[in-house]
Amino acid sequence: MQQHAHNDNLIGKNSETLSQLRQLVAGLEGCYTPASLPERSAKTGQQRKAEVQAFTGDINGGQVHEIWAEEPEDTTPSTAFILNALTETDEPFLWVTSRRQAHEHGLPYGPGLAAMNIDPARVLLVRCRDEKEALWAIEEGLKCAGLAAVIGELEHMDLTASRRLVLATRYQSQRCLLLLRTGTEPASAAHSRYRVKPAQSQPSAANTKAPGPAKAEIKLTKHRAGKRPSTQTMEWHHAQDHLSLLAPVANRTPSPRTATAKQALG
Amino acid sequence: MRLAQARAMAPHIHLAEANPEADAKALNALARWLVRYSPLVALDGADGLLIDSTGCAHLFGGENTMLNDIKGRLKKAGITAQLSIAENRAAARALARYRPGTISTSKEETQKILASMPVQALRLTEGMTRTLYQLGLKTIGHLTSQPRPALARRFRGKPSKDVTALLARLDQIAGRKDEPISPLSPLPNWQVRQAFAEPVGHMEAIEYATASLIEDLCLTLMKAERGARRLDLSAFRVDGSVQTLTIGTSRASRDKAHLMRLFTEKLDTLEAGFGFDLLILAVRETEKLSPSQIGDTREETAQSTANLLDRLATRLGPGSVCVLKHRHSHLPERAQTFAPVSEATLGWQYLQSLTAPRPIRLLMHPETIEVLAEIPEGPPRRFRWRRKEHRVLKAEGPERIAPEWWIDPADRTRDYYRVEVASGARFWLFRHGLYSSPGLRVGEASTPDWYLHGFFA
Repeated sequence: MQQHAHNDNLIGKNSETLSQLRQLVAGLEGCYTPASLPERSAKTGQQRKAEVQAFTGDINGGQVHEIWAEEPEDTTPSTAFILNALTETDEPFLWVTSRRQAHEHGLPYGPGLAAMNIDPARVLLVRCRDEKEALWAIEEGLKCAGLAAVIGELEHMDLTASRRLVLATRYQSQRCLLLLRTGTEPASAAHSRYRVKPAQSQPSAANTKAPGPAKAEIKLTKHRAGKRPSTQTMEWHHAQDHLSLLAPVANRTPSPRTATAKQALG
Repeated sequence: MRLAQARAMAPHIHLAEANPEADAKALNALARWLVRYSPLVALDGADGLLIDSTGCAHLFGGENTMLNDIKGRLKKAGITAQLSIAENRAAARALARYRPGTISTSKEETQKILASMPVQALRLTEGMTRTLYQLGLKTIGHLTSQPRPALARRFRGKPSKDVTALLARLDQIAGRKDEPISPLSPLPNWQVRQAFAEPVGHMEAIEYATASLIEDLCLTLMKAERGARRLDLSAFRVDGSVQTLTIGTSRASRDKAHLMRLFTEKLDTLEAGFGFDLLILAVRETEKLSPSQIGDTREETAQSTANLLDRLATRLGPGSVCVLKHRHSHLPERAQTFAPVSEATLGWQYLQSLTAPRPIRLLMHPETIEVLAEIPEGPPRRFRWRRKEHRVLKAEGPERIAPEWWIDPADRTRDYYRVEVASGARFWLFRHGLYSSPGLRVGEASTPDWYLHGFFA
């Protein structure tokens, strides 16, 4: 009986290592087969929600949060990360963008927002000529009650400007979510800063050649309330619980699968 | 007479080339300036202006004083004008041209004066005027003394248009038939004015005057239970030019502080020059606005958002603040438009939910990509976009979207692919046109182009 259990455990361990190796190879080759796909973790929606809340929970507070897109292609995952913080309410939100940003990265697209559980009618889009106007518009928006948040797309940020925004959030304890498209990490007075990068998605078993649910690597690089910097991988499903933390796939020591959440801190 | 002949007769003659466009523009500017006397001012041909002064003359101390005032101001501005006032439009037009300076306010008096005037004053065609002269009908009095049926019968050989015009003119000049006036700007719902004894050039004074005008207006609006949607502030400069500032609100408002704030944004753009002598604040659009309950927080929040949007739109310009609006179209860039905030119907409830995934950010104009490695009838393997090379690892598609031939028959079919590149970024690419054997279909190129249109999260 005992022997049998031990054997089972061993087989389980081996098969897991094997599946991880398969995934690694498939990832490197860029060619997945149904056999190389990992099992989905059996977490309930509640558990996933709690995990997400623990990581991004304080984005809901009345402060300035920076979502930092280091590379141009990081802009869209950053947008999705911001939108995810807005699904809780039904209030409209102000989306301030500049002509240059709209040209480089496009404008929010209603059908896509609807798929992310955001009613496109909630978007109040402000298209400014330049960054100076955009900063003014963000500041005005922060002084207004009745908005879910103010989203600002900017390319530069300095201490003076961010300090002004921080003071403006105090009027109505409004949320300011800045999407910063800067190559270097800016110095600012923001409460927290998340760096968002797209990650390779896990294809679904139904179609292994197609991109699966979108994944992004999110790194908390700054937190004024003293949270430790950490990295998480998040996945978007176009479904009810559409954001969840994922266990890292590659580059980890094989360990037996447990029911608890696996998070890679570092 | 020819120019050479004229110059031979009077060598000092001043020559200026005719510029009808500039003349029309100047006349238009003058008409705008005359709005200070009455809101109903219309152009009358290429050389005249009509003012409907009904109910306005007493504000300037009677018809006589008003006419002298207009004359004096125009003279100061270097404009020679012929003016007259009559109780109907056609009569006023005739009097101004053939007996300037006449003021006639009663019907009998007008008819008496008109009777001795030449038939040219009726603005008929040249042929008609000549015929009337040949018949000995030289004055308007001659015509009006003729019985109407006889007059119509006499011109039986003439084109019926001319006869109708003659009879209509006679009716108009006698006040039997009303002549429509098409004013330059529609009649405002309400307007308040502030005239200055001395020209005012200081911004503080103008701001103060504007504030008091807004206060007057808001009081009137409150009594009528209306709220303003569009307001015009016209500033009349002493040199005869008019500058107009327009503000709009996204929901009806009679909030003094808010309206003043919107105007303060724009007052800097006024150029005072030698100073303004008149400010007119007019409401162009209103909506019903009942008195609101104090302490209604939902109403207050909605109002606060509306005020914010007004402020943003006033500073950043119209069109910069908008909402996303859905339009029924399969073409992605046509499925969404941008509408002003006040527009009620957005149509997102009609969005088709059974389409392939759509990106969350869409480029306004698809950008061409350079495909480095491709397989026919499939997504590219490698492509270059904005000088950066991407290797496609996963792709889904194609989603074929046919062109809207009823709008642009030359447009080509698009095959959309959702691709994921090595960095993990997900793009929406499309192939414009099909791979087809030559001569198969019109409008299909043999080498299709590739574009990048949107970004997935």
